[in-house]
Amino acid sequence: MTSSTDKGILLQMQDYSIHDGYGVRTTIFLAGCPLRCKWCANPESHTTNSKLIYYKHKCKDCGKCAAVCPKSLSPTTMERPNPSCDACGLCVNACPNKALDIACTQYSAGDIVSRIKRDAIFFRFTGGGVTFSGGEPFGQKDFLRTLAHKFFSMGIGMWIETCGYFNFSEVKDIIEMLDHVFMDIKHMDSNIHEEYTGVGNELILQNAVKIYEMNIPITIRIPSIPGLNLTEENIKNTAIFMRKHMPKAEIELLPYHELGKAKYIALGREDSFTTFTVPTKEALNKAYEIFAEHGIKIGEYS
Amino acid sequence: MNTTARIERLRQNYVNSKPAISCERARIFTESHKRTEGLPTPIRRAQAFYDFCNEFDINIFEDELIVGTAGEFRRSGILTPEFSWRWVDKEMDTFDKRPQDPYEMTDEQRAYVREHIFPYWKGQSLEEHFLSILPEETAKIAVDTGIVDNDSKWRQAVGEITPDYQDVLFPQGFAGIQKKAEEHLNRMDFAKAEDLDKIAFYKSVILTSKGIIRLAERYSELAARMADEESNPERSTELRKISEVCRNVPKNPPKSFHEAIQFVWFTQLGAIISENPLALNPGRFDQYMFPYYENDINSGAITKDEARELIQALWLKLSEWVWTISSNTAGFFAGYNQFQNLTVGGRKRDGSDATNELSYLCLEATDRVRTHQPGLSVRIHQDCPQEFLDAVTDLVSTGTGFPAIHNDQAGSQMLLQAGYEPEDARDWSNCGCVVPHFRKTGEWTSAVNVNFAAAMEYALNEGKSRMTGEMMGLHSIPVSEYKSYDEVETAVLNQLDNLITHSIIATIVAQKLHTTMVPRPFLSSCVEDCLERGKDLANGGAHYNVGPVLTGIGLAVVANSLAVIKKLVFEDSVTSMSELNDAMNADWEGYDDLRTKALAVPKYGNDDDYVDSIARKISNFYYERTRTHKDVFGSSFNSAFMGISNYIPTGRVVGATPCGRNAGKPITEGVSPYAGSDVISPLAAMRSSAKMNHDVHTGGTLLNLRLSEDLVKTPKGKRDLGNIIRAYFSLGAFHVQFNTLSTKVLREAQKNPEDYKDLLVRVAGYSTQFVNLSPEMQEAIISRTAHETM
Repeated sequence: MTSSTDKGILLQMQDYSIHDGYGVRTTIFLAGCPLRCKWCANPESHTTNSKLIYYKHKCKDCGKCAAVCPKSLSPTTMERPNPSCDACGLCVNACPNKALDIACTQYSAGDIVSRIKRDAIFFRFTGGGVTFSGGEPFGQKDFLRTLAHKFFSMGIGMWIETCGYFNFSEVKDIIEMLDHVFMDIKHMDSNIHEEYTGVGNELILQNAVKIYEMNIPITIRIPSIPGLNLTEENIKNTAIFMRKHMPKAEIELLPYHELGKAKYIALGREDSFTTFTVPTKEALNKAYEIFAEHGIKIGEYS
Repeated sequence: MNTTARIERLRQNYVNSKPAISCERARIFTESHKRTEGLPTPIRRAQAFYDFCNEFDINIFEDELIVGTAGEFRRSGILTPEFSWRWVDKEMDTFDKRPQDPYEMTDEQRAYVREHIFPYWKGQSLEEHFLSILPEETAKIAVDTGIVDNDSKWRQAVGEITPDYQDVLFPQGFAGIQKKAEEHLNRMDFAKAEDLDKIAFYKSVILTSKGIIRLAERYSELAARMADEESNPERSTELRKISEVCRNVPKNPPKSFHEAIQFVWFTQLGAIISENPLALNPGRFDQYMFPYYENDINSGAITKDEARELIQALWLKLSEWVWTISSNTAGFFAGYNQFQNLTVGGRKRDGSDATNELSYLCLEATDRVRTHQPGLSVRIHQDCPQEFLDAVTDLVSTGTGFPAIHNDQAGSQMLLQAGYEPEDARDWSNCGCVVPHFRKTGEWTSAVNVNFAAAMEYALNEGKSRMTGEMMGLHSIPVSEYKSYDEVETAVLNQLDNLITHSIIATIVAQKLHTTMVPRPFLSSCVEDCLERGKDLANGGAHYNVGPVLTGIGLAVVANSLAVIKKLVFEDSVTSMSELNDAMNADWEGYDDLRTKALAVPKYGNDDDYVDSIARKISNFYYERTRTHKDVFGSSFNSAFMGISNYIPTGRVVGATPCGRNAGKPITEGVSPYAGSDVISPLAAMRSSAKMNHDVHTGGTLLNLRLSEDLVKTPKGKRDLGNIIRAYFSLGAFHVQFNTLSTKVLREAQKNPEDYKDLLVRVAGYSTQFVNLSPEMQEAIISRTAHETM
């Protein structure tokens, strides 16, 4: 499956989202991400490949999935991820207990637009719109561009949630159509950033500043983990960076949570689940105080 | 201060005491009837009412500010043997053991009623007359079947009435009503044949007016005696105040907020004693009470906290009395629910915004006392103050299920279509659950429950019930002979039309009997024009007479099932009608694959026109056919898609359905989706529902939705919900009500995941179906929810 201008790979579309911007929004989760954060709660979003999801607790071992598999695999007991499985979905349809599902499905722009049209009345009354999320939505930039143009012409407001790791010049025209950007700065130390996400932070910091300079409202987010990036030093450094380069931008701290574990299990990737510490309210408040001392506005969306 | 210690004590008492049967009303009514044999029925009923008011051994309970009960217990249920004694005789031995709405009753009481009360009514009750007249073929479908159900209209009184405080009761008081009736009576002429019935009617109204005045006087005297004996000076002062209030109301127009509230309760009480009614609505409480509130606050006669306490005391009174009903009826109207609807907000008669301080105090009272009564409804109009909508979504977020939220304009439109004057159409309040209603009206707002799924079953099973094999519908061809989807659909609609016809028969037979057997003098005096016309409510005396409402149940099940037939049999040819029929007969046992396919066909509630268009077609057909029939007063019948709990007993008698539902499982209420099948989101469900033409279903439409607590936890979430409601109403829909998901619901979902497939919870940054989470994760979510509500 590939992404193009007319077709894209989605993890899901979720309407009645109230934590991703103003009003009631429909969040479009685009698959694929250039980062591999060790705390990632959405491991199914890493690639755009279709993959089989298995909810063991719903399975009643009836064997109907294996009976329909054209590759003669046993979806419930096979190694997952499995190179022989091309996620054709026959087993998903055969399962009477909804224990199987496919993550990453191809949609046409037309499909998405017709869904959004139905939600539009709720956007109008609540001041909401669309939020692009992921994965990393700029990863499918051609498809994203198509959608952005369509929504722009429909008068539907668009927000985005991005990891910030993209080629700015390739997507600047898309950013121009957006009403708001959420961007993560996961760590100010590039080495640590690379250790925990697979990439350094230079490009991300540059992009944050470039977007800020376009006068698009931007909220910096930190997926906050005690001892890792929810440290006085890192918080201070982030605040100093923001005060210097993007003084009117907002900050929002997203506390780390362990609820992604279920997904690792469903994907058969329990081994790659790493546990971190969940931050206390006090630690978060303390960090917010540091930002406030630096004159940084606090955003509260989640 | 939002509740006082007194209210909390009253509340605890209400929560912890069990409803008990009181035989006093039945005893005094029966004894009275023995003395009045030979007199006209209205006079006999009115005399019995008077006798009760005069003889009943009244009580004022500890802590009460608002006084009056219909029995010797705080939570009394009364018996009305003139309507039906047989079901009581049959069921009372297990009253305390029945699963839905049990009552306490002693062996002594049972022996008494069997010996002294039931024998007198044998052969005389409404039930017996009804059953003797009802045509056999209708009786087969309409008596305790769950198919066509109207037993609340022949085992019970009608109720379904909104006393007119604005124009009748408060301006005149019952002394004024009595005087008016006496003046009319003086003008009557025994030499004129048409005056004979009127004479009996006026005499009956004089008697009931005297009765309710007498009852209040007795409470006044009792309170005064108790005040003398009371050692606590504070309580003694209260009792003197109560005595003073009951001396003035409901005899005279109220002079204060306290008197107006006591007046409302005495009116409720009078109606309860008269007939043990359901849907005895306090109506637009915030409108007719406001002048008294404003006056007392401005003069300093009362503080806002005192007003609060009185309102909350009324809420408890409305909740304490028990609508005594058969176990069959309890299945349809579960939860000791008396359906006393109290409506706040909306527009005034001149079209301007009607919300006032009392509108807010009513919302607050429901939040504080957490009683199941009154049924609190709000009207939201297009220019409704944001503060009011905020207060509404605040109450939604507390998880009480209240208020029922209504579209002001849609309600007016429904009344206009029923023939009301525009000003009156703007002045509506709810009757029972979701019926837009106007106080100067006689109407059976919930006359019959019609089981749509049964109609479909008969079309697919040669006219027979799948569970019993009995012939219940019209003859239909064997399923294998259906050549097209349209043939199936037509057959279903024909069967539905047949059930409508039997509903009409059962209703007009009951209506006809009501006109002679159970006149309603007390309530007639509470509704405009009965006195002017000299006609009882039961004879069409009200200013407006609106046709009875037939409530359709199971719309979504039928639409979903027809969609399955259309797609799997006639479009995709993956199954045949015969195979589907076999699967139904086997209750899907051994047809897992077919059932999986059936479940995958689009379901109503997901904004998918494939199936929603079928629902729309059925609902339009239902409206058109219902409207062609006329009741005993010449008014057209009305259609509705209401709720209550009727989707459970109606489901019990229907076998497996093509939508994937198992035999005996609940069907669907109102225009709501099948539980758990609205998997996309509440917004999609709203869009599906709004495709029905709400404005023509004058008997009301209902949409119940589940909402994660998380979505309404923050001010932003509540504001968003308010705006979602506005968006939904802009599509023309009439009503929506939300169950926010408490821990209890999540626990239920763990136990019955099949029924909760739609349950969306926010995990973190994303939302997902709760049932898709592992038990471990579900626990995590539950503990979070519990934590967040602390």
